[in-house]
Amino acid sequence: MYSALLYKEWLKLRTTFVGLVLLSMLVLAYIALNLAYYNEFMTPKGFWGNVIFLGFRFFVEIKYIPLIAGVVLALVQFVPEMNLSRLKLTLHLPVEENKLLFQMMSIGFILLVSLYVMITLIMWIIVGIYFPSEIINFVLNPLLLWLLGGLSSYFLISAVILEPVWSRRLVMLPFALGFINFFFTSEDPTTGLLIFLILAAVFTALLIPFSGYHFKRGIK
Amino acid sequence: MENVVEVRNLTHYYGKKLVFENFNFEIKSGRIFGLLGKNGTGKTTTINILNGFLKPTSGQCLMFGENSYKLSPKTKARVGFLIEGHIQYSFMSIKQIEKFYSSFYPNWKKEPYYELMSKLEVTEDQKISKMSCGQRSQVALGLILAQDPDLLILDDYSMGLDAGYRRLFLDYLIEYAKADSKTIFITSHIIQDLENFLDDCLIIDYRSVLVAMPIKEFRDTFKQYKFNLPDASVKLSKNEIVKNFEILKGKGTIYTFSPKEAVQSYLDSLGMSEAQIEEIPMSLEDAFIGITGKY
Amino acid sequence: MLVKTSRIFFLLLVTFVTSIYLPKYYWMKFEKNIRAPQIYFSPVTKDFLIRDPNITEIIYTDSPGHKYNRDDFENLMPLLNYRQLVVDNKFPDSLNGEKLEIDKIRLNNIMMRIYPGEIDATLIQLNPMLESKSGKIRLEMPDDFFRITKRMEFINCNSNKIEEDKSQLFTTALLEKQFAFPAKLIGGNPTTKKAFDEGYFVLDSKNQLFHIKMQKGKPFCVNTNIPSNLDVAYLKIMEMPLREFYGFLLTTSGEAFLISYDRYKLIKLPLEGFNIKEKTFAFFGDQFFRTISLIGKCNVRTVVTDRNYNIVKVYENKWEGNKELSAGVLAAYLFPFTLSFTDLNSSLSNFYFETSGIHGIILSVLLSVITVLLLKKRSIKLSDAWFDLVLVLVTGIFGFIAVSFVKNVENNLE
Repeated sequence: MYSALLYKEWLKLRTTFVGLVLLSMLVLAYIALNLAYYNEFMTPKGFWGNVIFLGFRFFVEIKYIPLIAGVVLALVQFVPEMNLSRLKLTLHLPVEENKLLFQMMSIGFILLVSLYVMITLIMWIIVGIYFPSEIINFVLNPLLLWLLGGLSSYFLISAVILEPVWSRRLVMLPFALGFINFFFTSEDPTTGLLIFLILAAVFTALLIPFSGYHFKRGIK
Repeated sequence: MENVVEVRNLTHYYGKKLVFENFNFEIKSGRIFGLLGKNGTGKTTTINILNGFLKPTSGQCLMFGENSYKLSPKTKARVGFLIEGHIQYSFMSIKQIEKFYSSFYPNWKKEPYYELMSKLEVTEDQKISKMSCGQRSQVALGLILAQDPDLLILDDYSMGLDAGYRRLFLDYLIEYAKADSKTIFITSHIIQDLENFLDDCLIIDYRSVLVAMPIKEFRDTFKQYKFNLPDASVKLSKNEIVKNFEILKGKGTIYTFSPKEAVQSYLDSLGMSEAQIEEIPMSLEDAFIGITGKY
Repeated sequence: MLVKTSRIFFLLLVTFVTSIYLPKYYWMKFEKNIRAPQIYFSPVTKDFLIRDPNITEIIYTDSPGHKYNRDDFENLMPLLNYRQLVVDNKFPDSLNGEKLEIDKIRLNNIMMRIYPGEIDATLIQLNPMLESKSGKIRLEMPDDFFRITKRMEFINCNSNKIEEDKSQLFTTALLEKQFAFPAKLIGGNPTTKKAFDEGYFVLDSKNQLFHIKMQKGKPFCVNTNIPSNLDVAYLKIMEMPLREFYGFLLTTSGEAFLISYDRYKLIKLPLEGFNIKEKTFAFFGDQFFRTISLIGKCNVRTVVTDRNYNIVKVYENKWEGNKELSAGVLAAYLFPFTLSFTDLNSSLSNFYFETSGIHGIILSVLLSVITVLLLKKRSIKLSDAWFDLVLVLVTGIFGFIAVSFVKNVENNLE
């Protein structure tokens, strides 16, 4: 049954996923191009100096890509489900509602994580061509936060979409955005804060049953 | 015979607006049950409650002994549901959708599905979104037959279908119903097709139940009587005897469950003892209109 | 059960977000920029000259309370304002029995600040080792950067590869001086915009401080022999032509030292232990005195010493901060606590949490009572809504907002 659901969601999401992968690759290619450019025109030691002393974030173009991926995936996956008749179809399946929602969410999660791993690996490789491990960390540390932000945005936006009552949706949205914002404005977190943010990102998944509970009651 | 569905004192409000009050009915196993009524009388609401999509304001709805709002997955697997408009996961193809559903239902039989699909003259990879309304209804039907549910709920199966597809649907349903312990629950506002199909019926009007009995009993006891009404000043009114009436061009019609004598004495009371009452035979549709009214 | 737990998470999210943004926007509207006073010590009057930058008029006040204007100030602080005085033809020939020469003044003038945010900032631990004795006037950035981890490695910028020979050379030199890898702290001045280069001061893992530089391509490494129990927190090195000291050393217990050119002897500055994470350390030196200020959010302590670091005079003051203003008092009643991810004294994001004590409790209790009344009105049993109540009691207005927005799950639905 899970594989059937996986299959259905994959059919729904495959074009979007491929599109997101392409978008990420394009941005990464752009960053790679920039790296070569800066290396040439700032001279390598000038480039290193800019990064080490001025904190030059030559990779900033990737910042919002994880967020876009999370939001787009949530929209493509769940907006069609909120169409009244589609909801009935899904709810009629002989699977417990919350389990169903979680399974659907897990598929989006898997796709998102695959994309993020891809992005991280490629970034690692590209940066590693020009820079030593200290600077690779300088890149990956904020990237981790942005990826967590993207993950949170997937869960939170899904919860907002699954909430059938418009007034409630409008209330949830600013809080969701406020929370997601933390991942994109926290510079240089301590380990404690980082752990908290990781846990928080994962726990945003647990908001789904609350929306899901409204899922059913929204049918008129 | 067990009750597949049991509805007790079901009341529902949308906000402050009353949809229906104190509905009571049962759907027995192996019967074909029709919920008939004009548009907007609460048929879809009833179906939504039955399927657990909606929580009624008060009252109880049990399906296979379980609260319909909290059906277990096991029970849900025994119920087949056709959504109004034959809605399906239209982004899938014929092959994909069968594959998808087959994993959810333990008794899945793909043969009846593919048999129906072969009649459609489309390939397996045909996307449902690109099929016509009638073709989609066939897909929906095929999927339900493949599921082989104990209870089949059809919410207005006829919507958007021409006569040919409606007949196809019915033919298959009749065949399906022949098996023991298959229960069918149909809502519709097109009555003529259901003439020889239904076992029991529930006819509802805004806020009330008009008829709740086996079809045969309804056909046997509900009669239409016509008579001449030259005097336009005579006022007919609904009462215990007169369920509905019409006055058109000097002719009066009374619809009633009561025997002919009762109608006669009613007319006598109005000073029309000479009136000749004539029983007019009715089709199911005529009877439906008779009890619900023309508008 | 799952739905209820999920709702609790949602409540927590809303409370959390509110507790960060509400005070944030509140203070954005109401915060006043209250600046610390500027403190000068006049070598002429041997007294302080204090300016309050929060008033637009330029007035300097001394200890007895006399007021001076800008011109007076320039006359009283000739070593700071020599350029203006020269232009005005008011530059004195001598002061305190010493002849004043512009070159000597320039040589002796030092201005330096250490902000709390510098101390725990995450740095990329790669540094350039400049050539200290090239024979050329201008310093040049090298083509490599070094790290001191398991050994000392030089990584070439052009190839992004380790320069093995150079790395071996320096590592061996360090090992010969019993350097215990890895380095805990590296202090230096990685710029070419200085008169000369003194390399780096490196704390090894046994708390020994080494002076490392490169001279004609060869490693220079000396153990400065600082006391090994010194809890070094921060090193600030600045090459000054004065050549009196290499830079500053701060410890976690709040002591400040100068690393002098006299065989690296540590000169302890006569300051009481201060919180290096909360106070800005400001060091101002001239030909005659040292003016050292420790500037906190709402207080300042300035110690003036002679050139031998004996205390001459001390100034202390406190002022009202935003907390004492009416906006601050209101905030204390409104918000039982404030949560922020940022703090002025740190460059790291972390949980910065502050309670407002008794004041916040009043509103929390009031809102709890209101919550109870609202629950009763909607006929919800208190035992079902215990979490809501606890949340409002503990988090006050933040929890109240959350509970108002997130209606309770009906009891009979589980």
